[in-house]
Amino acid sequence: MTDAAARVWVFDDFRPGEPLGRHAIALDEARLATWRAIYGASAEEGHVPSGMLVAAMMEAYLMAIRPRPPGNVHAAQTLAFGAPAKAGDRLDAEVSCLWKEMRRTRCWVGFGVVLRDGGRCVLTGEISAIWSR
Amino acid sequence: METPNGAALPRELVAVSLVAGPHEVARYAELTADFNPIHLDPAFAAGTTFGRPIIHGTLGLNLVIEAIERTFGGLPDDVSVEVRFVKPVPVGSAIRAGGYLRSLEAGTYEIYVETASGERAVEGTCTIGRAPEHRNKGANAT
Repeated sequence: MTDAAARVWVFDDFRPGEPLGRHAIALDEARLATWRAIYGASAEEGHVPSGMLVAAMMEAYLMAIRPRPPGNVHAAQTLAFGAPAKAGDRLDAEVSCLWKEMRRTRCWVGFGVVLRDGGRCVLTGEISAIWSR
Repeated sequence: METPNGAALPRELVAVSLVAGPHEVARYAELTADFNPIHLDPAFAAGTTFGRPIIHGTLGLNLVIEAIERTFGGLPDDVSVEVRFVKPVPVGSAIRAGGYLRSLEAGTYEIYVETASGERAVEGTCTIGRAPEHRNKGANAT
């Protein structure tokens, strides 16, 4: 198994079906304030914009797979939204490798992220990345 | 027009815009813990094929999600999205997100993020009311 602290993740390290890591994300006021600094205020008090779940998904993905080689490309994305989340919730993210394949000379990897709030799934996402090494 | 679930489906999504300047991109890096210098460091970006910093792809994608929420007053049940990031967007660009109803029967919108010149940076589809099967069920799902 790769020692992520010592060596960069490369294409050959990924195994479809294997979990890559878990990460917890708190939908706290600091996170909401950072969101508002970019996208503006939400219409509803206490409402968690669904895009914040997408940002949480990305954080979990990046935390699970590091260090990473430079030059990776986030090429495509699917999202399926589930139960709503609310301010103050603590989400648990599970990251996995779903698939990998060579397309001509490029190394493509599909990563899955599932965000849960207790027993409820709030978001599933599939990140299609062109891995640079 | 209505979805199979009875929700009204407008022909167009409410368009949402923002200027993705260095401040916004730096905040997005904090939000996602994505401090890749390609987004934040002009000197680093100058040595890449992009030549200058580019925004995070999901910074733009989230603008489409905002457009959906503003259109429906929140996210409807069973929303799924499928997009490609087709063109990098330089930091400092004004971007606009929206969508057009493609199929009432399927509840599908063509969605996009475009720059001020009309170039598409993100494009794909959003389906409302009938979530398609996704292969991602988590590594430990049976």
